[in-house]
Amino acid sequence: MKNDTEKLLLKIESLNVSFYSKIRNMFYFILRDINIDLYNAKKIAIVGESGSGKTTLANSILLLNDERITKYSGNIIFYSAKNCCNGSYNILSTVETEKILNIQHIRGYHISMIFQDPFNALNPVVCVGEQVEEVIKIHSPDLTKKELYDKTLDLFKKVKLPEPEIIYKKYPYQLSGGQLQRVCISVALANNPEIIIADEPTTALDASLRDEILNLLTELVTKEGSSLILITHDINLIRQYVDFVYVLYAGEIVEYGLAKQIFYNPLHPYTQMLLSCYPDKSKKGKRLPTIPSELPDLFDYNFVFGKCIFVNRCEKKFSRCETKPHINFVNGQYVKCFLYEK
Amino acid sequence: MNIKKLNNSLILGCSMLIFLCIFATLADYIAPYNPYEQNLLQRLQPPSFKHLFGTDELGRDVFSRMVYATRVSLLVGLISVGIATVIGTILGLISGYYGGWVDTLIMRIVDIILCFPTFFLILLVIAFLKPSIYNIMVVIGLTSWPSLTRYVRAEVLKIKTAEYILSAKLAGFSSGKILFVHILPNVLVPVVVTFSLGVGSAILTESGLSFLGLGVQPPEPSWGNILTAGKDYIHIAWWLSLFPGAAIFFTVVAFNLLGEGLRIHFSPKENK
Amino acid sequence: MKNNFQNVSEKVLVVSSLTKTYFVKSGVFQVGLQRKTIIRNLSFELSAGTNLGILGPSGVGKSTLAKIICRIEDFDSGEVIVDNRDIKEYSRKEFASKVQLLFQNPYSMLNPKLTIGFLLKERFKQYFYLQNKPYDENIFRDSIEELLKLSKLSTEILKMYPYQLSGGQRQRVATITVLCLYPKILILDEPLSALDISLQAQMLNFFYEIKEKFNLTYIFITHDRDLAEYFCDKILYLHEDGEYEIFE
Repeated sequence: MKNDTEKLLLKIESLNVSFYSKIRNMFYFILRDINIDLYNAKKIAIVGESGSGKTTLANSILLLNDERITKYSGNIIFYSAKNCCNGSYNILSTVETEKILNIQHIRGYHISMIFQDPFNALNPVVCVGEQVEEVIKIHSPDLTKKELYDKTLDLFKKVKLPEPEIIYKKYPYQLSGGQLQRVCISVALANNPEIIIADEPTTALDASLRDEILNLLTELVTKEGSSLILITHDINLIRQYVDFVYVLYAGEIVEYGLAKQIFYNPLHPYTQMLLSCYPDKSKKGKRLPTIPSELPDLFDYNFVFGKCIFVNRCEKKFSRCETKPHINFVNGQYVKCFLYEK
Repeated sequence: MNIKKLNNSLILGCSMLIFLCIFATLADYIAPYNPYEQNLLQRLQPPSFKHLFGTDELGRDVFSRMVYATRVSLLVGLISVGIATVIGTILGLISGYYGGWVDTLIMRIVDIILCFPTFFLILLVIAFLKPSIYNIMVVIGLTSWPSLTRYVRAEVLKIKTAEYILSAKLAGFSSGKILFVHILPNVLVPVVVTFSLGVGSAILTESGLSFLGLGVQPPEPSWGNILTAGKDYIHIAWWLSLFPGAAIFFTVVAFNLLGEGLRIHFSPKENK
Repeated sequence: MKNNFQNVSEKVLVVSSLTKTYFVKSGVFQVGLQRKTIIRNLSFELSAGTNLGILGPSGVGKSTLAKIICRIEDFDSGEVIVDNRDIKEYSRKEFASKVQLLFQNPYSMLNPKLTIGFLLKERFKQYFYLQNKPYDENIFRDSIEELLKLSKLSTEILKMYPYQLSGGQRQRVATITVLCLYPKILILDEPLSALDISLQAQMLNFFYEIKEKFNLTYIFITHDRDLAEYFCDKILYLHEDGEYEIFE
């Protein structure tokens, strides 16, 4: 399934992220034992509901979490293919100076990010064209004004903004949500990054625009030869856009594999339930199945580290589920559940 | 409430104020002498253990007078700003909620009052009325509401299109109920902050008026008129000017710290 | 009118030749005003207990239509009849027990400075007032308990403020606050798009349950065809040029 000749781009290795809670005066582990491999020119999706830690995961890759309260352990290794570097960076390098140097170089140039809310992602008092120019300028400071301008217009054309010259001079409040998100995508593409992280790029937009934006994003990523990490809560929205899917639940990856397989043959009880919740015509008049109970309490270390994370909501649980399952490889899918233990 | 959650300016401002309040309420027990009692043999004594802040030109104990003056100053500050807050909030709510000609009218009145130098306006009014502590409170109260009105109006404009207000309208509630039950709690934070900042400036105004002889009338003690009396003796009795000045400074700083602390406490971003 | 009274009586909502236009800024400097028709000559009827879905791309006036029906926005011409009376004839208080609207965003539906208990009680009092009945604390407590049980919430939340609740809880609380007024028609303006999928399913089931309990007629505004086909009996599809289609 995974071709070894493909170039590994980003390797997240047993990543733990914990936040300090002021109220409880203790750390809680928002992400536990995350392993993700991202290969060159591949698109992966991280699917999770609210509270699963998917945004934290996206932020961790670029160290955007509030550093005063966050602790990391594990490795996030980035293998750069671009010039001017010596192989690999460990983003979580313990050497402080190295870490800061690396991350500022990586942000925007090697890995860029598209945020959830385009309305707040741009500076309201600077026209959008200049904001795009600024991003290009940071990583290639010797371009002339004319070159910058042309490059920006090219980007606007790429993201299919109509009349790029006019858009260039507009302020964020004059643009619609869809247009703003296109500008944000052009900012993310500005320096031809190797990885683009899109954190719920369509949630804040009008629902009918969602497919349009996702189409554009995946098309551009394919064209530029970048890799994409798409983070979303809507498992059905992304099914035709990505190669790999990682299902995140309460800070753990419970299942991952090829997108097609996950959608048509989900193995983990959580993924199965999530997919069956979706309403359509065939279920008309019937009640929809729901997932009982609530997310586990992350402060409860016994539960979080000792048991299967889904045990309190699972319909198929049995005695063994009171211990931690390992990741099993079944029919080309990886699933963290005792049902598939050999 | 967890004390760890409070910020430093709030804690400092509060403790300074509690200190002042103790002085004001327990003045009868704290003051070592009768503030009105004259003793001409003891006039213009420098600070000593017997007279902590020295004595004035009539031999009255400055410390005792200042302790009693705390009462006057706090009273003037709180009541005058209280009047201003009530007027300012209600007019701001009405102006923002109803809009139209009501809004225009109230905003033009605000503009007119803001155009005048407030202190001059107060002087003018006091010149016609008899200078007394009550007149001062009312006059300061009636002239310091306009900025609050603007503030509240802006907040109301922001809130009145919120979905929970639309939903309250759909539930058929009367405008008065929506205004005072649903909108007012949401604008209370700026009101409270403006209140505490306003008290500081009202105390300053009172001191200024008393210094000019138009405020609290002697022999009633006030930090302002102790200062006035002190100015004639400043080259031989520095303590007459220094201590009341320091007290005014202390109080204003206390209220400003409180206001700043409250602002930070209620703004969720900085609170974290 | 009298001849077809029988026919009209079971219709809870009748919209006939409704037109709504508004002015948009146009021109180079955004100074010119241009009249834009958003809803043109729209007519449909809705009988009690039918779920109507309003579908269409963004900007075709789905939300505008909802706002017109609940009198937040005015319209230019036509007629909207709710429960056999023109909506313009109702007083604000009377209208409260006819049509209620549930907004898209559960985070802005509840007043952040008031407790849930207060919000519920206030609307309940309003309902009693509309029925000309004296307010009774016991009836209130019983009804609230029933509503909370139905929405699978504990009575503890009555003392809480909205920020203490999760997204799904807020949406359910928002729903029971409008149910306190026992409306005939409940308009749901994209009520699920801010929620997770597992919560969406829970909410849809909840909407079904309360429909039976409260004899509600839903108007469900959504962009999601699958969702509309699952939930609605009748679908009104608005096109961008002001045209519309109705499917059963």
